[in-house]
Amino acid sequence: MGDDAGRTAELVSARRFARRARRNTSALVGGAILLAVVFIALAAPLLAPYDPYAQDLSRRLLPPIFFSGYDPDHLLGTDGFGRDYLSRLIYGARITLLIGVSVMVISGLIGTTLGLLAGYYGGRIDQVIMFVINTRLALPVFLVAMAVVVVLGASLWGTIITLGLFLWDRFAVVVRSATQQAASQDYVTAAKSIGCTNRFILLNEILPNVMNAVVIVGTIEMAYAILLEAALSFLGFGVQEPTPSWGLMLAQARQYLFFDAWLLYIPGAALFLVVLAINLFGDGLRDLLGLGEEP
Amino acid sequence: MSALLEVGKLEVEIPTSAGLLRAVRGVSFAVEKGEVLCIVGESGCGKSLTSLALMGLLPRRARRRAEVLRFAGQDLSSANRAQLSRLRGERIAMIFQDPVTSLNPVFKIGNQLIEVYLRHRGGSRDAARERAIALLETVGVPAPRERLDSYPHQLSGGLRQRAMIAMALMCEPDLLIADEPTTALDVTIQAQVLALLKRLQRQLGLAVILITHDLGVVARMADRVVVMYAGEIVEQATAEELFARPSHPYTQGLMRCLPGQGGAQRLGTIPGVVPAMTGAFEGCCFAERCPYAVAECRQGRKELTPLTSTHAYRCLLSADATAGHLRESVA
Amino acid sequence: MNPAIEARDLRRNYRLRRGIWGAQAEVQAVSGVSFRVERGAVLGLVGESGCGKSTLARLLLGLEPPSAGEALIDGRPVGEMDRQERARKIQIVFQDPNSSLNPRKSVLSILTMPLRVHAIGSRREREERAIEILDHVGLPQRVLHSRPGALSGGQRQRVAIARALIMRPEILICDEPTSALDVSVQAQILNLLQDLRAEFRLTYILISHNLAVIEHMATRVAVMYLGRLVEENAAAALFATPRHPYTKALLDSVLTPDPTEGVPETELGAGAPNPIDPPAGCRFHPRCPEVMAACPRLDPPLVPCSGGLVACHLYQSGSADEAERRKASAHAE
Repeated sequence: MGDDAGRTAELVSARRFARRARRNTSALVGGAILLAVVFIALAAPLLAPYDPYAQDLSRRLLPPIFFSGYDPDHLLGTDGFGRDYLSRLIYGARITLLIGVSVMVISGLIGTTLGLLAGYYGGRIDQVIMFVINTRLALPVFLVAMAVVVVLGASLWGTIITLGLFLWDRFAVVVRSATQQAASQDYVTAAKSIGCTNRFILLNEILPNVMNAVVIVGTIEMAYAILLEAALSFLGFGVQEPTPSWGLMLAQARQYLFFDAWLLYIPGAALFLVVLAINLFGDGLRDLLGLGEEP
Repeated sequence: MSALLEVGKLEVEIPTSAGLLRAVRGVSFAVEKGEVLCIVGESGCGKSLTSLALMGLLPRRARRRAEVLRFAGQDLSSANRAQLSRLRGERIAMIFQDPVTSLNPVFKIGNQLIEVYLRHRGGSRDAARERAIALLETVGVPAPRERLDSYPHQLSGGLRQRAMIAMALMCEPDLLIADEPTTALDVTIQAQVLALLKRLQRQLGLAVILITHDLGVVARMADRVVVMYAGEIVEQATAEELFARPSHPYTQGLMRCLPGQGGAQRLGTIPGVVPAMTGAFEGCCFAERCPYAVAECRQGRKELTPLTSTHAYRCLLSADATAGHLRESVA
Repeated sequence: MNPAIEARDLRRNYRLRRGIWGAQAEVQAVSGVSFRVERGAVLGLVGESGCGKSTLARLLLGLEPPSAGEALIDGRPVGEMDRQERARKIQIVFQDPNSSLNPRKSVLSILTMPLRVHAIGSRREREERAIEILDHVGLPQRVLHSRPGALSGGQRQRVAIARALIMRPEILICDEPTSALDVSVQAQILNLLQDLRAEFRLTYILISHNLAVIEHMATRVAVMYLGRLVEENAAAALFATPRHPYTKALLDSVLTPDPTEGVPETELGAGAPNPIDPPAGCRFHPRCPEVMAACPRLDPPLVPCSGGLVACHLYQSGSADEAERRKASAHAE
């Protein structure tokens, strides 16, 4: 501990506070958007004016509210099958969040466990886990995901599990180094000399200290998972018709690109907004949890 | 003759969430050519900020004010960035507690020494190289020619600190500011590095500001001493005067805290904690922890009272009254 | 009666790999350390950084197994004890309370952890014991629900001491307990350690590079250099008449607050030794101002010398066969 440590700490906390206040705006904005999306997803049956699966070919490709000649019954118009676009967008939020959260949880569990074990035990265990991580990093996620989906058949849960099994690398790497840092602290040695088991130390002493990192990586991975799902669905390797997924909506809108481009804009904007919100939120969290300050 | 460095009423303020932190308040001192001034105090007393303020190296949010801030006749407070950075390194050099963080780990020691010289003095690379070798030899680095090609991590702590000192001396500065230069070192190495500093200071006529918390270092190194507490100077004196007749209750308390003086099995302590340096200041900042505090101590402001021409302290009580009965205070 | 704690020829080697594919090198962090600490004594362990003090502490705590030799507490090898028994015998206080207290736990949780881990007492009882121990270390009850970050450095170190004492151990290792603290706080902690020693009938092993602290606290002092003990003696005797040139250099380097004295010029070389490749013979000889012909060749064993032990050729009664025997043992290593 350097001299004038109290003063320096105060300096740092003052600086951190200012940054927090500034970044908090982004956490607030991001959080508010996310909360709204979660609400919309949960309350989809109440909010959606129509059944998102109901087709009405007589009313296909109606323009949305910001174009002339819109239909007041369909605020965001209808798609090529005459399905209400707003309803599909609302139900699509469910799929998007389901995928984001599930993939984050699966990959988070795998990555955090591996990272904790590698960082805490070191030695041979670390070598083996690092090898697994490197192997995983050498695989092009997208291509392999496509291949797996082709073999297993494309479906919602197939997509979730595939992505979940592939996106844990960042968790593992970050948690591993955070664990190494925590494990070198004297409180871990103190816990050992008190007679704590390794399991106890990992779960009670180290895990709480790496949780910040896990949460922040979680937001990054969630956003990434949502984008990947959209891309997979867009290419037809992800969620399948008629499930209302934003990626799928984009894919179908492609054929109307020239005359009804709004079909593309609306799910595209939704996707953009959600991913941006998650990233803003994660960025704000990083500051609130004081992780950006680590060297 | 005017002093090499003159500091008058230096103030450093840092805005924090808890209000304005007045970390250094009204600090005045002068450093003569060729003398060692020790600034001593505990964590948070403002001694490091004072030195950073002199160099214009304060954290960005901190604000500096001074009535006088003059180095060799040049006004530092009005100097622009380019002038300051030329002064730093060329005429004022600084060494820090941790040589690991102040030497760049990706460059060889030799290149770092040579670059400093070329940047400030110019001239040929070979001349700079010879100077680097000579200096490394002076500071007691064995096999200096070979060491030029070492990276900082290849040197032991003591050698790194010596390399830092050599780097600080490359441009023959007039003033060396050393912030806890030996705190991270082993005792035997500390003695060697300090002996080296003292020797160089005498040989080169260097003025040194040595910032430390260690009264042992102060006693052995200082010509004059400034004792800081909670952002203020509470006592200043020559080293002999300070140790013979510590007059501020805080200085006395510090000296009683030192173990290893034989005799008493219990050490004296200073109860309480350093006050927060935000908000309004009323009275003596040591009053809360002072064994002699009386009601008047908590009002008004006390200026430094001179005892001799070189010894002054900031306390209401007479120096003899405080020194007379050294009360053993127990936390 | 058995000594409180005893080290018998403790050794600990680490394998280091230079680079990823590089050859393995062996570092002897502790190589053949023996000592006995009587009940209620304070053994001061002195030496520069990297001399093996902290590794020795880990061996005594049973945190890692020795490569050879054994550590005994009350005559029982530490390695044979189960976790709880060990925790009741020996505990440690570290240098930096910032690092030794988990920043995410409350003081209550930190203090009761040893009890929870060993399933001692009910929740209420554990809390009562935490309050009781806080009182012993001079902290008010209200800090119980604070996080370490809200406490001052001295208070944090008191919490660390309280945690070490809550299992009522017999032996406390203090690893640089005041090095991270201010002088005035250091004095408070040293006084506290003195009080607790009497109150809890503790035996201390006090590791410090601050010789003033050692002189103030220790009853016996052991000086380590590069993994070896080079001198051991009663504190008063050692400070009055140091024998080993390294001990002398250490004591000479102490800066007492005496302005009439200058900075001591020790005659030690600056070259810090490389523990991977320690010097042959006496490990101190490359830096020793009194080096003799025998020093680079023979490793001097610890021999009795005026009430203590010293490992230096200056103090060996060098009969020929003894030198031969020493040579043989040096070869055997």
